[in-house]
Amino acid sequence: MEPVREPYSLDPTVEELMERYVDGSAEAFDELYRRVAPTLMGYLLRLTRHRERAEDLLQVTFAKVHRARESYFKGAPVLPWMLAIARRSFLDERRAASSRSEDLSQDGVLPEPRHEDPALSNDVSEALEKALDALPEAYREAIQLTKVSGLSIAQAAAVLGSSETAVKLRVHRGYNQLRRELERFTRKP
Amino acid sequence: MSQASEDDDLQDLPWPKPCAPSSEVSQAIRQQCTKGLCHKRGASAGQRLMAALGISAFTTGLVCWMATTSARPEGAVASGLYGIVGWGIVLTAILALSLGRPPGRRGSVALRVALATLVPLAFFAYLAFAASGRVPFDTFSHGAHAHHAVLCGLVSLVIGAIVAGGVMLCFRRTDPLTPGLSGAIVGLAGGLTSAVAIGVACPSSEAWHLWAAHGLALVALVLLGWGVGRRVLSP
Repeated sequence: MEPVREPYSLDPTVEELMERYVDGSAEAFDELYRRVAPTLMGYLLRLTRHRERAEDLLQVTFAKVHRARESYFKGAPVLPWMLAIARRSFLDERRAASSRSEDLSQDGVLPEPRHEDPALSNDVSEALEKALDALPEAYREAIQLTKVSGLSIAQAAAVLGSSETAVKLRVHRGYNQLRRELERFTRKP
Repeated sequence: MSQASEDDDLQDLPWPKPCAPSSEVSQAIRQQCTKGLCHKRGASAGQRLMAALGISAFTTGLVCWMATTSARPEGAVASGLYGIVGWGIVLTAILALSLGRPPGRRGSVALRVALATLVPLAFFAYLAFAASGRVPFDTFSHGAHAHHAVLCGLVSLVIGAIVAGGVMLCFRRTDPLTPGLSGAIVGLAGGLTSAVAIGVACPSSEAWHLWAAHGLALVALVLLGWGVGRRVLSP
C-alpha cells in the first residue's frame, strides 16, 4: 500500500507539485519543472536526435500541460502523463514535417547535423549513444522510457499506448540488439 | 533464465543521463506557464463520469417518453425497457472501468480493447435474440424495409453522436495516454444509449432491421469515437 502523504508536505511528490501548480502556485511549477524537464528533454532528444528540435518540442509540451492542467486528475501519475504529451507532440510535428514536400530523412525531417552531447566523456558512452541511435525506433523508445527515464513497464506501456507484454518484448529485443551493436562499435578501430 | 539476469551485463553501462534544457528555453517556458497563474481545477474523474451517465440517462428517458406517448404496443415498450435496464448496467460498468479513474490508473489497454470490440458483438447477439422474426435478405434490401432501416439507422446515428459528443466534452483533454481507445469507449457509450433507446421507439423488431439500423450505427460510432477521441481527448 502506498504511504499516505499530508498535502503540501516538505518533500512533495511530483503529483503533489502538479496539484499545487493547478491550484496556482508558481513555486510549485518551478520545482516541478526542475524535476521533470531533464527527463522530458532526454526523451525528446532521443526521439528527435537534435537539440533545438527537442527544446522546441519541450516548449510545446509544457504549453499543452499548461492548457490542460485543469483536466489533470488528482492522483494521476505525472511523469507518464507528461511523457505521453511529449510523445504526441513529437508525432504531430513529424507528421506535419513529412507532409511538406521537402527532402526528408527517415524521421520525416530535414537531415540535421548529429547532435554531439558534451556529456559524452569516453568511448563506451559514445558507443552506447551510437548503439542506441542504431536501434529501431520502437526498441529505442522502450529502452529510453524504462532504462533512462526510469518508468516502470506498466507506465511505459501507458505512454506508448501498448500492452505491458509488448513493451517487455521490445525492451528484451532492444537489449539483444544493443549488445550486438555495442560489440560492433567497440570492435571498430 | 529470467530477463533480469539476462540483462545484468547492461546494468553497468554509462546510460545517458537526463539532459537539462538551455536556460533561455527554461526561462521562456517558465514565463509562459506562470504568467497570470491562478487556481484552475476542473471536475474530477468521478464527477465527469456522473455527468456522462446523466447525459446518457437523460437522452434515454427523453426517447422513451416520446415512444410511450406514441401508439406503441405495451408489450413492445416493456421489452424495450428491460433492454434499457440491462444495457444500462453494462454501460455504467464499461464507463466506470474505462473512464472513471485518472489516465494511468484505468483498466488495462487489453481490457478496454476487449470491451470496445466484444460489447458490440454481444449487442449484435442480443439483437438476434430480441428479434421477433427475419425476412429473406432480398426482401429486406429492397423497398420499404430498406427505406425504413436507413431512416432508423440515421436517427440512431444522430442521437448516438449527440450523446457521444456530450460525453466527449465531459472528458475533453483528459487522456494523453490512450485518447483513441477512450474515444472508442465514448463512441460505444453513445451508440449503446441510442440503440437501446431507439429500440423502445422503433416499430420494427425484424432481425435484419435491428442489425442494420441499430447494430451498425453502434459500430460506426465506436469507429468515429476512436478517430475523434484522438483529437478531442488528447491535451
